[in-house]
Amino acid sequence: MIETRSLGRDYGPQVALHALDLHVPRGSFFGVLGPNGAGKSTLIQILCGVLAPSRGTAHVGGHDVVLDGLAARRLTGLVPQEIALHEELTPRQNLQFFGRLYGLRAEALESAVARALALADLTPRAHEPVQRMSGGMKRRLNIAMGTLHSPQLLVCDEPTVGVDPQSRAHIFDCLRTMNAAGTTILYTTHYMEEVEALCPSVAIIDHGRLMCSGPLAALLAAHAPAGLALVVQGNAERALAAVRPFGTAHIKTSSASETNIVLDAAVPLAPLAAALADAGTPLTAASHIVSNLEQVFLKLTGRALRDNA
Amino acid sequence: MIIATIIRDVQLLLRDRGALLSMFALPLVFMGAFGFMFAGADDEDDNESGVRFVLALQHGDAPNESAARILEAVRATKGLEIRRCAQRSELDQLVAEGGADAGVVIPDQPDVNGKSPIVFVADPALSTAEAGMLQGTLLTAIYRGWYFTKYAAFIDEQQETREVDGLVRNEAPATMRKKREHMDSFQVSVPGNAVLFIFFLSSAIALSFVEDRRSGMWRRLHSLPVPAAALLIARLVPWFVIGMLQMLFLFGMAVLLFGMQISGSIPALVVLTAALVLAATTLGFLMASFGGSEKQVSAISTIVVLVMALLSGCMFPRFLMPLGLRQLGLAFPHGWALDGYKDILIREGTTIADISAPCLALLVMSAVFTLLALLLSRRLRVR
Repeated sequence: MIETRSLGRDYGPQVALHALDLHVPRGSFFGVLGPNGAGKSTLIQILCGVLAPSRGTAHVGGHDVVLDGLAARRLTGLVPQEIALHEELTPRQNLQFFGRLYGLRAEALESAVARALALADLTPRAHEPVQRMSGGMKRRLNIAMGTLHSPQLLVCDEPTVGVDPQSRAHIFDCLRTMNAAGTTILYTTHYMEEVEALCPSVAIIDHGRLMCSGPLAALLAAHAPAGLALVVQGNAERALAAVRPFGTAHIKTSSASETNIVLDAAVPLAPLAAALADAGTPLTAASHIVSNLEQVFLKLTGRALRDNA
Repeated sequence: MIIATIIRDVQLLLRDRGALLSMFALPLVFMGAFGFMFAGADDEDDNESGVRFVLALQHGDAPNESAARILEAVRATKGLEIRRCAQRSELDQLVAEGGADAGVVIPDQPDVNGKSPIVFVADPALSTAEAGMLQGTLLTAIYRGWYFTKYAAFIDEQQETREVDGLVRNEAPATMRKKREHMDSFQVSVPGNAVLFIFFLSSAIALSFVEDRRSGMWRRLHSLPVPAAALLIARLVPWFVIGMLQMLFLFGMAVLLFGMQISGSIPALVVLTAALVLAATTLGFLMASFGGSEKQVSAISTIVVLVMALLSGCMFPRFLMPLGLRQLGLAFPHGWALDGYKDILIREGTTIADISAPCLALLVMSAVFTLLALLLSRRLRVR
């Protein structure tokens, strides 16, 4: 659905995107992660036709976003990070306005508005000014606005910022339903658990470069393998030497009574316990370390703050 | 607590350039502008401040003593730039085309009682205030010359004013359209205020663009399957329509409530108004293209609108300003619009052709504003 080749964008001397090659399959639910200033928003704006690329190409549904921009934008719905609504108008009036801009008329428009109101669960409040609504309701309407013309690609730029858990769950359900109906969803967020919950495929961008891309499980396996947290008694160094044949290991904490060792491999416990017992450092406790996206993210992008992004 | 609050508020104020400009720069601009406008009018010591009026002057080659005295007095009048004309027709043309604010024809042997009068030639559409100030300046010189001849000394005020009855006759240039018999003050106050307030539309337009950028609406709109040019036109046309409705309301109410007379043609009024509203709309687009926060745009656009209105004669008749300021007023759309409205409201039979110059100037300014806005918009990273 999305194909970028050597896509680049400069802001004066500053390079926001470096030769980005990204492939998002049709019908996928694809997460894009990156620290502040990584180039996510620039990528989204190029895909949605808001920005022109400085070099390279980007295609949406086979249409070049520059050369065939109108056709590409017809396939795309944008849910901006900001709540881009006219607060003085009602949800229905907002939806009617954008529906008309999408070229919808008469029954098609009314049908699309009704569908969008239902999607946002705002049908009972369709005639109430948006400014009287809660943040969660506005967020839901913000998403519904991007779906008015039944786009093949829905680009969501941090769509759940500041919403309550109920609205977030509703938004997730809506997006899953749309994805199940065939809509490709490109989803950016800072919430790792959202991506883990929603996106089978993920790309991580940093400093305008693609750090990794692919199925979530494969990325976790490649960049943050599961491991074991071990608690042993006796000499710490001897315990570490006994564990090392099973994988990369390091001492996390050590005291006179016990030592905590982290083993970066999920191996069977029985031979490990036997090896530790033979070394005179018996295993007293063990637990699995579950790898997660945040570990992958921090491993690839580092822990340095991005305040100046 | 009070000190902490004072420090915080000062810090906030220092970061709010719009507020700083409104509080400190705008009053200075107004003080300076009004000071220059009144320079030479009331301040006897400040008559070197520049030219106030351009006077077309025609006289014979053999003036008698009275004529010579009057000529000398006119030439010695401060604030006048004199352009000598060989023929009366040349003088009329100069006044009619705006090359001179008024003309004076001084015969070789001027006399009272209308036998051989001095002819004062001016635009008949001048307001009472404008004509009064112009005549006051000139008649003082003329009477001074006349009295010098008669009494060998200037006799101050009131002295035998009957003696100058018929010395000066008022005329209009032959080619200029006449004003209506009864001119009303609303023909001056209504266009002045309408032009002033229509440019607050520019401020509203600029703020709407800024709000769209802040709220993400700009991105959402530009992600629509609509060409950028069509989107821009769709954003500006409603404002143009609102501006036309505003002007229709203001002029309509002026006619209905105040009985304002419209001496020229209604189509001319509509065409000029459309050109003016277009200028206001495109100026709003230009102000939006500079970027900045809502507070900055609000403050700066208000300042721009007020200063332009001040210098262009919306608040004080441009005719009464020094020549330099009057010319500066034509650098802004307000000045041209006011000239056009003056013709339409005051001169009988004014047609679209008569106001082609103001309309053309407004259209050119609109084009320049649009071009600049498009160039600046590229800086705001819009496709």
